[in-house]
Amino acid sequence: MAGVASIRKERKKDILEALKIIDIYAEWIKGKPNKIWSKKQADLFKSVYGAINADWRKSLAKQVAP
Amino acid sequence: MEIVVKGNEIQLDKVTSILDDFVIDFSGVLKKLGIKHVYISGYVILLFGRQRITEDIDIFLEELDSTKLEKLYSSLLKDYWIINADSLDTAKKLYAEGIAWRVAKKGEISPNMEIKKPKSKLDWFTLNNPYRVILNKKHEISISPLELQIAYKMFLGSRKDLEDARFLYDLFKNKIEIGKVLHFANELKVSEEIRKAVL
Repeated sequence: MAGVASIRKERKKDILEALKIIDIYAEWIKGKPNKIWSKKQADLFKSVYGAINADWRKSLAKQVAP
Repeated sequence: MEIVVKGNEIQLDKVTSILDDFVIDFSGVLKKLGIKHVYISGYVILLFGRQRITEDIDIFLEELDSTKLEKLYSSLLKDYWIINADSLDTAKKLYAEGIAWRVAKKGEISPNMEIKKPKSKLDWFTLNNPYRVILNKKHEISISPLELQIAYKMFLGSRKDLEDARFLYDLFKNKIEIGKVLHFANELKVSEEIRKAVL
């Protein structure tokens, strides 16, 4: 067996650590002017979705090509 | 997006995102140091175009001895910072305790890499049996075996995880070994209800 109990234990540890990281995030964000942080977030969203949508359009174009 | 699967190799042509570029750059650091690694979890799903956002990318590295760990630490500090460790000592302590390093580009906090140590039998299997993605014919990215990734997402079981599992399954069901997915689902004791819902 894969040791499900120990996998769950490790996951719990990861989640507790992730909560500490959230505190660091919050402090980091507080130290930045809002415009900088918002722009970084917007860039990330735009890039990921932009890449996905560009691929989607390309693949649709291929499907309808003769 | 073009996907061609040949055994454990996937040729993928796509427009890269900030996350992909971050992964390509980070892989370059690890390759220079000869550190075996594999990307796991959410990034694997995003790499293949699922429409959801994530800011942290999970990665397993091989077990590092003290020398390799120090080399990795100093190499990272050229372009990156470790969010949860402000010194080599702290970084070593985290590593020894099995706590992931969170690494971002200098001056940034997102996206960030969550560097994990393989712990369970399945983690080691993942590290030693990756799928190789050849991105845009030039970048090689090692990702977790798709059969295990699908089963693991079913094991996690949140709505997001089940959607991820279904996404990968739908995309690759004619290219992967379904028997292996079922094998891993058994290992992870995934319920019959979830199996039926996803596969």
